[in-house]
Amino acid sequence: MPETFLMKLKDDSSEKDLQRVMAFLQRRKAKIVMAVSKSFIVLTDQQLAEVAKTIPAVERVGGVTVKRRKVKVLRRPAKGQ
Amino acid sequence: MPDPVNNIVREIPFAELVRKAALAVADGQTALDLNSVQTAQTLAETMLPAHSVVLAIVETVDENGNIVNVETLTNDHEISLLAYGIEPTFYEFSETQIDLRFWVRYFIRSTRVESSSEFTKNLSTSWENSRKKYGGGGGLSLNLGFFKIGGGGGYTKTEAKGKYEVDLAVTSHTAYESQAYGLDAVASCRLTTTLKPKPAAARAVPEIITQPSS
Repeated sequence: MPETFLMKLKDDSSEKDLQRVMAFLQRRKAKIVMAVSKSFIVLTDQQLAEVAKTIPAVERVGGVTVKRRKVKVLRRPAKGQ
Repeated sequence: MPDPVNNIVREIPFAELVRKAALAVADGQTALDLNSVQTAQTLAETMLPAHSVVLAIVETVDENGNIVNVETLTNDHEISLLAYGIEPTFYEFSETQIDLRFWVRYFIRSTRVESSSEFTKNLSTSWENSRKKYGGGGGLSLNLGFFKIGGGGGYTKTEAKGKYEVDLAVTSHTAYESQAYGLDAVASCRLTTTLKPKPAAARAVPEIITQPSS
């Protein structure tokens, strides 16, 4: 059953490391939901997450829950009214 | 000899096994919680750049209530992933099962070999011995007016008979007895745990309230 994980690469990891990890995840059919700097949110199973922990460039792998976000709608009158 | 199977069962440290399993689960739970907290820290440190997150949609309406313009309100400053709405998942061991199996094979093999033989022989010997002796003699005697001539003879026979009888009996008896004891014990232990997500511990993750600036 797929779960959402946060994966963070080490601060001293290179761009090549990032590419390698991305390629590894994509080969294993993991879905990268969001990527910010050297962290990304991945949708995959627990087994792959455990494998990802062993990659030297990976600093942290932890399960996360993406909360449902509500975007508020604000209405304001046009200027001059 | 006492039953060794009972001894083996008595020697299995069930209490120790359960205690160690419980400690292992507790250690595992601590590691899981620690990992979740560290994930929360990582989420708090990972920042989304300014103007990358839509916080609200601003609709401008005229006096008739018609929407004349739509704008998106984005974040003016960097916000963390935690503020964005991504929270660490906390896990717990909901069930732990210890499955202990052991097989004990115990056997005593007794061997008894016995053989006996008997030899009987009757030996009989008889003998006979016979001896004969013949003899004779003559003589003249004068005895006051009488004149006598005479003679005599003799015969002797000796016989001996004998018989030996021997009963020979030889009896042989051989007995061999051996006992072999064998004990073979195999044991396996399996620990099965079920891991389930659980709500974050109270105050482990701060509550994030996002509101647009006035």
